[in-house]
Amino acid sequence: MKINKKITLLEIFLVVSSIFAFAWIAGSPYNENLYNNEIEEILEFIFLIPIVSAQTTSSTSCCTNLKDGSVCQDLPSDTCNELCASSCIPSSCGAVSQCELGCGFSKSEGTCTLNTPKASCDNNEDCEFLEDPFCSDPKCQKGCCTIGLNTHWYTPAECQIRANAGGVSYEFDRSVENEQACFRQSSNLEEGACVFNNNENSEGNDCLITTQINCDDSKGIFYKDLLCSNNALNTRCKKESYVSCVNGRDGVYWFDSCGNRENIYGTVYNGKIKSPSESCNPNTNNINSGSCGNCNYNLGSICGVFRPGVDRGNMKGYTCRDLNCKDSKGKTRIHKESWCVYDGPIGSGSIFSARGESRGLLSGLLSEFGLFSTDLVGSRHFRQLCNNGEIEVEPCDDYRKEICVQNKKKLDNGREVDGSICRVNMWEQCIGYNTNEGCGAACIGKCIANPDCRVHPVFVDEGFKFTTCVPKYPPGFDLGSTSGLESLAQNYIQDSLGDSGSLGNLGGIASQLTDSSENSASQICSLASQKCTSVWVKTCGLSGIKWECVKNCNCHKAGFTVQMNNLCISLGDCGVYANIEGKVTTNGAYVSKKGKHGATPLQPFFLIPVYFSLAKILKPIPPSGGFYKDESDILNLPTGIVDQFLGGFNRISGASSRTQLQNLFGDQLGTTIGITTITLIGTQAILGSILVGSGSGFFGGLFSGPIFGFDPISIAIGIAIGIGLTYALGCGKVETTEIQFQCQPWQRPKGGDDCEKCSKDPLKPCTKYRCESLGARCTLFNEDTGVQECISIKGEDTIPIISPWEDILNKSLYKYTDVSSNGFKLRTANGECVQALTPVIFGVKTDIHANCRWATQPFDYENLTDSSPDFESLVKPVYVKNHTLLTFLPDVESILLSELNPNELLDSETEIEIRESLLNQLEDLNIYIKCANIDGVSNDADYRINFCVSPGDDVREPVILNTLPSNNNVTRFDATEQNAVFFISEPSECKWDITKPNTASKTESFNMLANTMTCDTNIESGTLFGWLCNTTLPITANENKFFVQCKDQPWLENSEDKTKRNIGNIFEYVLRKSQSELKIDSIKPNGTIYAGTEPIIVEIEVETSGGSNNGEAFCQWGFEQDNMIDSFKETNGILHSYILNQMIKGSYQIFVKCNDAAGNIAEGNTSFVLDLDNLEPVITRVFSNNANLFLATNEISRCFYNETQCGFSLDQSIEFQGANSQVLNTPLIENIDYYIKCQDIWNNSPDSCSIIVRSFEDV
Amino acid sequence: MINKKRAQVTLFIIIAVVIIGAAILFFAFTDIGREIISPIVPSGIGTGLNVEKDFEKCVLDDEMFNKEIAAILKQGGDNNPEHFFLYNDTKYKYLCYSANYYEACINQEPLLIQSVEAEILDAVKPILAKCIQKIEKNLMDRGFEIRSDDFNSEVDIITGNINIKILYNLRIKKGDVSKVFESFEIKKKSEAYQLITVASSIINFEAHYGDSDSVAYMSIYPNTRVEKLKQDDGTTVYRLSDRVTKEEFNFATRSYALPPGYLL
Repeated sequence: MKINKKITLLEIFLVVSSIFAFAWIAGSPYNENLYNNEIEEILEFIFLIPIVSAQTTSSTSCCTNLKDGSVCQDLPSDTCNELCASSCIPSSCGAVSQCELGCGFSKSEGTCTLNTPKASCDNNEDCEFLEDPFCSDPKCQKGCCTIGLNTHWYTPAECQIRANAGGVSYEFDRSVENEQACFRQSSNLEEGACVFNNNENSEGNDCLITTQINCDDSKGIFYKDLLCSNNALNTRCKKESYVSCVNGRDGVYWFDSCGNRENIYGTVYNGKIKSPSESCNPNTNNINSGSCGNCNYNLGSICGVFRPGVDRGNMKGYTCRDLNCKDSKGKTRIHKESWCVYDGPIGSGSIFSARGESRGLLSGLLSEFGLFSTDLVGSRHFRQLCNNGEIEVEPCDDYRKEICVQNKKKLDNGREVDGSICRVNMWEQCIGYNTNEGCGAACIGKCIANPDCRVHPVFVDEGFKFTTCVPKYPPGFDLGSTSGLESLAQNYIQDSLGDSGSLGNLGGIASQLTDSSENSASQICSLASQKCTSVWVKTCGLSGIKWECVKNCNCHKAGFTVQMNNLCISLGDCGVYANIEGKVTTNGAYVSKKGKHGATPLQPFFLIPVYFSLAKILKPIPPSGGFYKDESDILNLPTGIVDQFLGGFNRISGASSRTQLQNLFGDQLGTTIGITTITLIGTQAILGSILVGSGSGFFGGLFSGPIFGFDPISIAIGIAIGIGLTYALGCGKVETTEIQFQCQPWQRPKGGDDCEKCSKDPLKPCTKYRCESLGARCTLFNEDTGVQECISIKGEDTIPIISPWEDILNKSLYKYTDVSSNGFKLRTANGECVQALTPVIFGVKTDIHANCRWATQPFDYENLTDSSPDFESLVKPVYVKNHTLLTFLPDVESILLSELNPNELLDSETEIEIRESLLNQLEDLNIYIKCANIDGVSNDADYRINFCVSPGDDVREPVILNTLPSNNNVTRFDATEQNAVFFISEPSECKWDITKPNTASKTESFNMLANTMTCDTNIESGTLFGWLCNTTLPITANENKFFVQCKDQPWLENSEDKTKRNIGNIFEYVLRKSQSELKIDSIKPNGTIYAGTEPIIVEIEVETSGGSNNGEAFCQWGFEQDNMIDSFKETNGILHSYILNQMIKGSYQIFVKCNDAAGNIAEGNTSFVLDLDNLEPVITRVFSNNANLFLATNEISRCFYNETQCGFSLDQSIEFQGANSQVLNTPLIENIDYYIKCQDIWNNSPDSCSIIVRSFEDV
Repeated sequence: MINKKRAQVTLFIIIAVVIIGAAILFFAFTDIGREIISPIVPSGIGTGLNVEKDFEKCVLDDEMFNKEIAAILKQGGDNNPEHFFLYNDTKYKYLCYSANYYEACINQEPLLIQSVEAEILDAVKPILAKCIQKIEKNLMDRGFEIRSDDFNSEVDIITGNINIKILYNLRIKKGDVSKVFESFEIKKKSEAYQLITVASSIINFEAHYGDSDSVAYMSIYPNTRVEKLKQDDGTTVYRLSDRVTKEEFNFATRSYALPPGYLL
């Protein structure tokens, strides 16, 4: 049989090209030593991930006084000195006494401030530092303070101070529920006329409208509910003298001639005080009324000066001013009404909910299209509110960190209006609910219960179905980072601002402390990168010989793409989807096929019209609250939940989400999540710098991607070799095809034509996220200044000039030759062809930020078609200047091996032809590169990189590059065996034994090793770290030694060339056993804990010992044994602590689970009761003895006395001796009265006296 | 007889008018006369001179006085904040701040009212000094001997007012007559107290729960307008204003800030 050489040529090119991948690296160039050194750390880290996933990776120091004037901030240790005006203390501020947080009580004002650093308070004489940072001290408990005719929400001291300042008496009532109830009381105060007899004034008595208590103080005569102008009182005050507004009241009021407020304008006068509800037209706003001044603030009106031409209804120069608004849809909104506004669809959406005509357009996809999370890229939730006749906007936190929720509220008059708030989007929890198996029954329960999550089923075929819990409102990503254009924009803005463009301390130091999230975007998107394997059987029937699909056949259909892209979109700004202008971009996802059977499913970019339509058609429906509907409702959340809202939730995700994300679907669906982890972490470690704007999708392809790539190549090979094999193979043969969906961060539209649309709606402020979603050139100028502008950055509009990237190349091994403007050759340092199966990292640079694509034949950058020669290379949504490539070049044997069954032999003529053809092509391999600028303009001429593979035999010995667990690692105390993974430099067979072969011959020693590892010798399975072999090793002693040896080229075993196989040196691998089991020595608290007020602060403290490293462990806690809520804030040592600061009284059981680095696990729990002591101490006995007055109390107390009154402050008193005991005494002085007040350790004390003691002589 | 009597009465009346006129001229236009009458003229010596009122007018009418106070209130109660968020060319001082994500803010000004009072005091001192100089010069121009000590001042922000008490021992003398002033008090109408009280409440809420509801505050305090704008970096800018006086109190917080996207 004759092989078509042209086809073979193409095939070889495809084979080789498929093992390349583009990436870019911002940081150190490749360094072999670095590579070798760091790889161990990488693997160690991977090993530890399940155990120490929440470890804090960077240390922080406490700065008590920063240069910018702020105080007590935890800063990264490496930047602390730069930012700190004082010395950096290598500890968290929580442990620094100066920064201990408490409550600052102002002695002169009587006010309390939460979260006050001790030093800030101590530096001020007026400040008293109370230990509880949430100011639960009774001193700080506010109540309703009535001073004169007004009520205030004050602390007791504040009430007294304010009343004293005004020289009036006051009343303080702790029983009033809240501030609003207190203010309502002001209108319920019993008022009346306070008449002062003035016999000298013939016009009548003086009179004042006030309360009984004030009247009594003023020595007047009080007439409840009467107006001063009442004739019966014989005052000089004449009724209804003039009209005015009253501070603190809504209506237009009459005033008498003495200046006393009377009744609401329009109310029939009868000499008595009338409340608004007894006045004219109650429960309406009386806007436009000229006869009734009963304005109602809650219904949208308030008294104001009449403005001719604006107001209607003139009441002696005043009016009920209209505070209501009309929203953008013309709907009347009452004052203070708030509602949600969105940029487009939000939450769950589906084509099924789309209306009308679109169904026809999309009918072909209808059956496949399920729900997805529809929030558009760049979109934000807004809360709009009507405020004094104007519509104001309060944008929720950008990047959809908050969502706007809306509910109906009923007004006093029965009318329903909208009320809305922005609340935290709890999307992080959704991801955390998933397990290795996706979202099982328990996960689904939690997912449904969480209003911010959504169960997302994927059902493509029986063999490819799974369920996940995904965010209902996916978070936005930092698009500047994910696109790689952050630095370009920053430089442009900096250049534009010049020297005079300082923005001050814009944003404080927060930006410097921002953790990198660039990689996480790719990592998250890659969760939807899933592989479906279809199974094909060769059938021989009457109709002929053909391959029939028997499993997962639907993975070849459009439904696979649609469902996977829906999942991809639902994870965040990933995949092929639309921005706020409805512009859909292409490169966020792609589908590839590896294998020769079946069709490649529809590429996601063919869905552009679908998503464009959906972005316009789907209408947002505001969610109705969820966790809480009102800001104040957050206080009513159940214990444990509120902490999550207040920051705990991040730690939940930190503790578990990373692991869960990485494990998600891992086993069930056969994804490369684990490998992806290697590449992600590995890349970071190798490069020693932050990778910006790329991620797992990218590096997954780069480092861990199958060497033979995917569909087009495999098809080509399959066809080519299949031609030679068709009649040599029997019927019933089974083969598989892998269909891979690759989900990547969403790509920004090219150019910057839409930038100005960012500011088109003044009620939707332009932000960085919004701006960057509109185009690759769009950059926010004057960010966060209130005068920001989304501009299209200039420059970099030339065609990118491509050149070899020298720094990335390991020059001791390789070099670029024949460099020209059209390309170069890559050869070894000696100018020879590259050795097969050796990793080669090289790259190209562009003079400007560019998105590069490559193929094995000349191609058009813009010409994206489903049949593009190498689609994977065409979808990298990142604009960078340095573009890295990595490859393992194959040899002839490995290519043949990948396609031939060992038992299947070609006839000699065919084999020779194929071998010759392969050899020839391996001597001249090319890839072609096209790079486009951010406007999408690419180089016209092809840029070609040429390679060749060394034709000689493989003479290199296989090397164990690293192991997992790392060498000399510690295993669990109770371990009897340990799974181990070995990374080999080339596909090999490996064996091990616990005794070292006593021979100098490698062949003999290899044969003497008794145990064979399971090795993946498929060339496609290579990773950056080599080829994997795994085995289970017995753990029998404290120190366990294993001897490992590998033999390469397993495909030669049955051939004549089997003697050419190379055997490596014996590798000694040691695992040590933990010296003891990990133990939890103590968990606190336990028993009953008393507190003065709620919420109660409880600190959980755990101490561990033993295990692999003297008790060092990572601990988590939860209210249920199998549901750890969060990791300890302080952990990864032997002491672990966590503060719950929103606890209420009740019985609790806390479960604790700790793991150490070796995988030792310790579990424990504690039970405790929280109880409140809000009763003041009771004096149970009073007696005198030896000229001392003794008190006995029912609890530990401090007692004070004053000689004149009960209402004394402590600084006006004398304290009894024996403070904080139950028996106290003070010298007994005859003939004085002891006004005694006792307080317990919670500062509970009576408002009046505990007891009044008078001495008398017993007669 | 009757005519004689009438003539006498007329004469007496004329004499009385002359005497009274002479007295008026004496007290009004001679130094001695003015000195004699000065003790019975409140707060001043001589016509057209009321030291307390003039001093108050000097301060309250000073454009810088009002500008300085307004600027301080607009910048979170600080004349020259170091740690601020620049928004619309205004420095919004961080009154509660945490540089980190997911953490409650730490109160940066525990005694806010006292802090604002101190800032106002620093800012208005030069204006007070200028007015004192002006009053002294005015008095000296009118021929008074003046003896005074250095002045001290206090600012007290209370409901409806900003009170400034100037402890200034001023003794003025002309001839044998002298007067001593120990202090002056200036009351500037202001809703600063109300605005700062609301700000304190918002800060406490932020320090505990990380967010606040502007509508809730506006429901309780109809005259106070609360505008809240969240910024990209986690900062929240608050603009509080009084609907009647149009005074503004602006500040920034950063509490429980959330990072964009998935921060793993």
